[in-house]
Amino acid sequence: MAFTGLRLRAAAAALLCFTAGLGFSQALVPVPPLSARVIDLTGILSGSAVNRIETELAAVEAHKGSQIVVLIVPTTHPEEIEQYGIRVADQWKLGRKGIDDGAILLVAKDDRRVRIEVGYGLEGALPDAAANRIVDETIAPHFKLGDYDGGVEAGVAQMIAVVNGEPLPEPDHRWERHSSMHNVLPLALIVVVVASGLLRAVFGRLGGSLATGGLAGAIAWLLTHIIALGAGAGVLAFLFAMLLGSNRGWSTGFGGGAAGGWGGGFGGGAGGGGGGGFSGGGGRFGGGGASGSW
Amino acid sequence: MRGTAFRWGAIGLGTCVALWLSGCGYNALQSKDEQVKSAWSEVLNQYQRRADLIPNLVNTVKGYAAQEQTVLLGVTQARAKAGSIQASPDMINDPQALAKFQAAQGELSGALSRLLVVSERYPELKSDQNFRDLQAQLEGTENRIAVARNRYIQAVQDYNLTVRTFPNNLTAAMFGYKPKPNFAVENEAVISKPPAVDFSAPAAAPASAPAQ
Repeated sequence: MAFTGLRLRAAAAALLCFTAGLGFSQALVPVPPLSARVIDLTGILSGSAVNRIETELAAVEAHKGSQIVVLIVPTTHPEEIEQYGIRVADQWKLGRKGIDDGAILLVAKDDRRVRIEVGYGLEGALPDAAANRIVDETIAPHFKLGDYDGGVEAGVAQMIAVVNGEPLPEPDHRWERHSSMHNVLPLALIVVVVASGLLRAVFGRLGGSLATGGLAGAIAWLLTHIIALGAGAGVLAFLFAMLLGSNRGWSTGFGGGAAGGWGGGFGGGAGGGGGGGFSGGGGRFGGGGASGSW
Repeated sequence: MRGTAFRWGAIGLGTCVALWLSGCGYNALQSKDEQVKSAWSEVLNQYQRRADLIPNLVNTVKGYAAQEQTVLLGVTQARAKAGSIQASPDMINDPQALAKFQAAQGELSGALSRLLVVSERYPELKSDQNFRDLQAQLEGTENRIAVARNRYIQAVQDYNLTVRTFPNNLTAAMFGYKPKPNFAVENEAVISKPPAVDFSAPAAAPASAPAQ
């Protein structure tokens, strides 16, 4: 009995080694980093089409909050497009966290396969049947004629249309800004207090306060790329530093604290909401969507 | 003096217990056990979604291909059989129940793929928009099942690794956490392959042939 058990185990181990080796020998297609809203690794789209689609998709995110990305790869072999698609979705995490309103239009050019991968939050707006119709009736006919620009553009336009028809939560940038402001506010307050104390010690009250204001404004401007915000933060930080310098007692120091904290916090906080970078918002996917061939 | 020593001893012991509970994986066990449960719910959820699609699908096919009685009956019976297995949350701790559940769902997958193969012979059925929508939903659901199963397999792997490795295994043994059975590999091949392969291969060939 013990002997057969051992043999069985050895056989299982051998099988395991074999399958593991098999896995290594067939390297999976890597998921590219999420660098843009249209990632064409095959170059089948024209530059102008890429620009147009990018603009449209950026507008959707600004307007509705949903994140849609187009990915064109040469092939997904050895995986099926569905398996590759869910790996891409899991890595990119498109869509807002908790709302899961992301979608991917995936094209495997040499496999002649298209897939629309739909996040949990968009499964109502873009159910499998609707995704299937977009693939079969809109994208595939264009692709059959070799019109990749037209196929992708028309497909994306339809995806945008259904997303626009869906009552999703507002893309509340204010909320984002507030939430990150809450995180940054205490830190910004401390930084402003410490920096203004140091600068005032070096440059005197007026000079130090001006320097603090200038620094805070510059940082806010750099983080948000909005001059008005930088100026506002700078002025507030300047006033706060003046107040701190004028009155060493804690009573007025605290009185000014709210304003100064807000000024500094706004600069830092807006960086989270208004930055120009693009990344997935933490949306989840469960394999919904449809695939097709052309 | 003795009182303070005693108090310090008690505090020390309490700290040790707290550290031991969190350090020896008690919390990790809890969270991983919970992850396995939620992954399992998702698997059940998607199988249910598939079962819910079937009556509509069968009726639509019947409208065009009523003579395919054996195939239609096969699907209905397999669905009834899969539905008759009580998919309780405790199933994940019982290898036999899990195997039985898998086998029934696998049978249903097979019956469904036969239905879709047969439906290829009826051009009118294939061009019926309702059928095409249902087919897309079924495909999507099969894919969701595959995703949910993969996530479940990973959650169980993760959990089992925690239960078996030192020092968590001591904690697990003390609180009665056992390794959970996973979806078996050979069964998985049987279950997950037929819908994908049987279905797409014949579908792709006739679809592209008339177009060119």
